[in-house]
Amino acid sequence: MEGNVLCVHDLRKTYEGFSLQDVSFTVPAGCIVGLVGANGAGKTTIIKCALGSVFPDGGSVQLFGREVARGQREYVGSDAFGELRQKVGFVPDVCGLPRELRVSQVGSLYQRGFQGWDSSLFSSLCEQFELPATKRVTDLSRGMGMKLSLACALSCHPALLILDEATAGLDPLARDGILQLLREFVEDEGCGVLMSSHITSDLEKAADWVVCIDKGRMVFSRSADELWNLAGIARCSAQDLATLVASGAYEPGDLRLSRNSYSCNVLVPDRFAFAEAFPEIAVERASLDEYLSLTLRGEKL
Amino acid sequence: MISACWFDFIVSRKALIQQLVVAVLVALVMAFSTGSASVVVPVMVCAVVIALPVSLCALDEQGDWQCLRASFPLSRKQVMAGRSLYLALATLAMTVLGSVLAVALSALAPIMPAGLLGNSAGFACEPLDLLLISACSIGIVGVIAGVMLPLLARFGVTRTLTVLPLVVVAVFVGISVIIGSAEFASFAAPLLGVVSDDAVLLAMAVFVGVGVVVFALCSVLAGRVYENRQL
Repeated sequence: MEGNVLCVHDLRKTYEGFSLQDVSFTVPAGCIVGLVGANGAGKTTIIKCALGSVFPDGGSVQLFGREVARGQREYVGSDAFGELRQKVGFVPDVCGLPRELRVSQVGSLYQRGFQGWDSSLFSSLCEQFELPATKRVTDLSRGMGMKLSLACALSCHPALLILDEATAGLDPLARDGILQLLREFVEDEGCGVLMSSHITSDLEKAADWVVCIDKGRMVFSRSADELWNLAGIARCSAQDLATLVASGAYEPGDLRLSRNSYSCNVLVPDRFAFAEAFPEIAVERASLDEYLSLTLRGEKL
Repeated sequence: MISACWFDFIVSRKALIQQLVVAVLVALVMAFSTGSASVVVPVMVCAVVIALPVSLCALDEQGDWQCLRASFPLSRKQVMAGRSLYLALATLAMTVLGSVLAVALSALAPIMPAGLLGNSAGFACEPLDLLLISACSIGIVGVIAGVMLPLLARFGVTRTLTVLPLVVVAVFVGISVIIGSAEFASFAAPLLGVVSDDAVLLAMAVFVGVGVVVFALCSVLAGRVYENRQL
């Protein structure tokens, strides 16, 4: 599949005490887009709007080029929207599968619902994830439930895979395995992945693009290259900071900083250019954690 | 719709079996205590089918299954249509099962201990009585399950069980007012005359027809209500 599998444009949704405002991003085929933000930022609300569980108050949501937001004039209708979900795999944050079903019966459930269901892939993934066919969903640990949900979603051969905090309950080794599997899946199938998470190390390993949401607002939408291949953290003393400000190399508000006891950390958009301009100030690659922390909570320089 | 019906069946299979076992036991107790095998049918139908919509809704809300199901390639209308089909099939199945059990008890009546049956003379059920009782059961369950469907679709289990007694009272008060009115008396007189003239088949058709029509209309309403519900 080519093109954008999911387009969100100026999405708005209001609940009592919370408001999602003007969120826009796309998920291209063959890309993993990370959706990051604190608890309650609005990540799950965005996902629910994409799936049709909740109805946006404004804005557009296009799935495979077709409008699925109810308020829009071009809305495809609920039956057609249902059909579009043949190509969508979803892994929720809590294993929502019926508790009394056995793993093998879960496969039968999905086989009935999805035309593209691949039984042999499902069996292979269950074996890989060490999920016994006779075990009931209620007897699975949280991590095993996540793996079962992921196995189900992948076995539908989706063109869009949506994961809502799917790796949260997994141990680090299992998370690495899942992320590797996702990368292989994207490369082999060319599908798009929207992955919401607050485990930033997972996004650093897997995401091609990161969208940051904070208190219902979109803070940034940037490529992985810009974020951790280009951006940097400059470790500045008070004198270094004064030099930086006096240089006029950056417009006021371009940089973010956080102060600690003996120095301060400054987020710079291009660490290579910074190193060239200020060779005496130590600058290193920014982790996504540091990038987010400084962008959301840092002081504007 | 067939997929949605099948989903409901596979998800509620355990609860259905449990309700069926309880219903059979209660039906047997009532049959022997009232001295009539005919009561088996209404007990089986009502005990299982009236509880089923509540069980299904509770299973929807358990572990967020309905949110996961919302990501399936099914529209909300198809989910409710499938549920209605499931309830209709359950009604038919319980009616047949109850009738078979009633006939079996009637056949065994002559060899049962006399003390067990009470008034053994009236224990066995006549075929026409069985048909009429089955029709009444279908009619009653059609109305009750029908009323429950849109309420459950809109409010979920907890709020529906709070509101349901009020709705039932309102429905019964409404029916009483209508039946007590002079207009209804003049409308119903010919019909009552037919029933009292032993036109049993017509009476059966009326009971079944009312149940089916109310259930069908409520199913359509439930589909529309569920389509607009935010999960």
